[in-house]
Amino acid sequence: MGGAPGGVAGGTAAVELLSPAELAVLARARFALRRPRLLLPGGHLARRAGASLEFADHRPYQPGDDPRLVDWAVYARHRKLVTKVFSREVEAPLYVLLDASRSMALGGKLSFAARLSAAFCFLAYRAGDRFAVYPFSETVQFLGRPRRGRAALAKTFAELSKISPLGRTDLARALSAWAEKVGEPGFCLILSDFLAPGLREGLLALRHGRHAVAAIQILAPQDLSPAVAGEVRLLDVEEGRGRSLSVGRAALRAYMEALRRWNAALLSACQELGAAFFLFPAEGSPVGAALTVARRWRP
Amino acid sequence: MTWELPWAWLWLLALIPVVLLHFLRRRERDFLVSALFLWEGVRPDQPHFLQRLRHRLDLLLLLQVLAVILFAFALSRPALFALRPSGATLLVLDASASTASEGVAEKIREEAKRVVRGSAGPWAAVLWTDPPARLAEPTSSQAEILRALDLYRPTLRRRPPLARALALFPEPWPRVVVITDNPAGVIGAEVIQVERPPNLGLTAFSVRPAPDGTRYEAFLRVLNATPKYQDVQVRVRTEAGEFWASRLLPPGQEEDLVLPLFGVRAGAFVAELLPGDPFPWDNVRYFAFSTGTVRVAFVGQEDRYLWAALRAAASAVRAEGTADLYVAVSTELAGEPVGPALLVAAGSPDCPGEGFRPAGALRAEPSSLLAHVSLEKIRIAKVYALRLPPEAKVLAWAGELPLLVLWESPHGRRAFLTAELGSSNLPLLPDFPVLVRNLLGWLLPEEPAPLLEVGETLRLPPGYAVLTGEGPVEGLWSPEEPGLYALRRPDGTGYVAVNVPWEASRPPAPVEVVKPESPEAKVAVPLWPWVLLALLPLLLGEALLFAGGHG
Repeated sequence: MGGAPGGVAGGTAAVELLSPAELAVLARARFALRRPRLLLPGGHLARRAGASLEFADHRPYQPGDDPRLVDWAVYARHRKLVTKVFSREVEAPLYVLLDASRSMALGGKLSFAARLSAAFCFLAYRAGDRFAVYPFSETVQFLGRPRRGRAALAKTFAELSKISPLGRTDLARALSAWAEKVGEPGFCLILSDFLAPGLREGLLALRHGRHAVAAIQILAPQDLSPAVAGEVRLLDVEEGRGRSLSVGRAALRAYMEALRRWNAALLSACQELGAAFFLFPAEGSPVGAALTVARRWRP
Repeated sequence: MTWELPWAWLWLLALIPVVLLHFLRRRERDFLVSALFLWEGVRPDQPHFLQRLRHRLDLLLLLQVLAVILFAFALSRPALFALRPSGATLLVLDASASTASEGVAEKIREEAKRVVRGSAGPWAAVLWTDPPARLAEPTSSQAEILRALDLYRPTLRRRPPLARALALFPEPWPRVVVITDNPAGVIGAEVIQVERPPNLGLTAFSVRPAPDGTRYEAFLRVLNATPKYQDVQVRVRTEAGEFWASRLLPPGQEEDLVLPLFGVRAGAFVAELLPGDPFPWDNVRYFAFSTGTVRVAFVGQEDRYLWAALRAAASAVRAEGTADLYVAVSTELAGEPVGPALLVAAGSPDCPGEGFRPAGALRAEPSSLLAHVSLEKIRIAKVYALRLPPEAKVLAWAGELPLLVLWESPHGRRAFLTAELGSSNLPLLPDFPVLVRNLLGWLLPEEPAPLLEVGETLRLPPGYAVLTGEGPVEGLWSPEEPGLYALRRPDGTGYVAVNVPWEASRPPAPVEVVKPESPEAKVAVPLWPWVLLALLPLLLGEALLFAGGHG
């Protein structure tokens, strides 16, 4: 790790999750999760407005407002009393919610998700922010409060490298439980294959907690285009249920149409609830995916 | 291609149950999915027959079908036609001494087997050695001739003319194949020459007494038939000790060595050559003289000093009748002895004595017989005056009288020592046994014993026996291994030296090998063993595939 920018010493897990070359690429990038008119403590913005030296917005004057905050220049031009609002510099931690259910074990999805989580944590570490990873399936594992610094990064990497698939996905229950437990608003990344119902309910719970949410869907090649033909018995890896099916071209086309409709519904729910939505194949580069999210996500 | 059992192709019918059972068996492959609910609305496909067949075809079925086909193919006993030399083949396998070189016999055996496998037969085999021997009687069975060839072993014997070996199978043979490391002397036969390893050997070894009898001279010839220079050491062993010599021999060269051997009389000699090589049998050579014990007839006054000196110089025993040597001391012989005689202060009818006279100052003529004898130390009071024939040669004088005289008389060699031993210090001096040994060497020159080669027959006269490891052999004896063998005779013991033939050491002369043409015929080469061999990994692969879950 000596040559890695940021120097994540003391974590062999970092070597397993991200190579020195990948860490170097991430170190050169900037986690530009900026949102106009929001607060900027350090490098990131919070949703809560407050008093600071940085102007944020105008609002109509209300009785009781501090006369010093009335914008007299606007009054001179428009003859309207408006009050200046300033942003309050607060910290916004990065929450990574990682789906660790059994379905994520198929096609290397969990490995990809763990590496992608590590990449996000490294970006937050480089920006001096706090971060935390919460694996979930039916319930959420609370591994601790968000922390900043090198020790927190090494600990997070170690936990990510030990993560193993367990249980079935219950997005609604897990996300609701997490939102109730975590009161501090922040940036919330949900990493899952989302091949289970309950995302909408989960997003609603997160919205109530005033989190900026991005749903990152990770799909394996056998999810996107299954290489199967002939007489097969399809086994649900989470529920253990099975179905015998004679699979040909028509059946594959029908499956892919069902998947397309399912993903369209996911996107629609995200758009409706103000969450970003990304889809990455599991055989891709997690560093590239992290940089894509950092570049495109505008909470 | 031909099939010995074509009806065995009916085994192909076994394909029907194999294929039927394969398709009757329901085979569903498990396929893990992340979300089964996405598949729940998917309706099953209805593939047509060919598609279903394609889906059901797998590697295991293909291997099973291939195994059945190969099995039926092997059972039909297929054979390929190949052109092979036709007609009967007589194999002549060189088994002479040179084939005892390391690796040569194995090459000859393999070449013979190759000839057998590449020809139609029948075959017979003969060993080309002395005497030639039948190795395999004429047979049409390839297995039988191959078994007989396994019994081939080289000998250490000489190689007779090829005609003697061919005479063992006098019937006409269309093809005669001689397999040898030395094709010299092979005419009218097909020759397969096998390579002989480089050799370093003694090609000659002989020992002779020096003319003056004071020492032996070993004559050796060393051959370096290797492609590089060799620093060789030659060691000659006798009962008296070892004598060494060394030479740097260029490649392909042969050099003579003459090695003087000093010491007491010896009957047997062993020459050894270092370093060793793939043909060790010619690195040791043997030589022996026929003389064993020397029978001495003592006449006149006894003298224990003289007797001790005689015993030291040779293995002397007293003899009453016939003797190898007559010794007379201080006496006048009544009759002239027949054979060599040593006369000490004694006379004979041919050289009568004239009585003792006072001895004068000692002086000597230059002679090797007086080597290591110092006249200055010798004190002699009286000498026995003799009337010598003109041919006698005086080697030493005591004043004006002869002290030491040699004479080649018609009855045998004579040596006269005229000093009276009783009044002289000569018997007490160390020079005395040396002088007696020198005189004996002149009086009794050794004759070489019979030198034999391995396999050569020695006819032993009655009363003679050769002592071998298996006990004494009388009558006819044919040694099988080189070495020094003790020879028991009625008059004592001697040696017989046995060596490998000298020709075995020499590299073969380059000979142009002419291969006579032989007619060819079609021979069926069976294929089914190879097919069965191919079936084994196929079945193993099927088993592994089935165990791996593909079945």
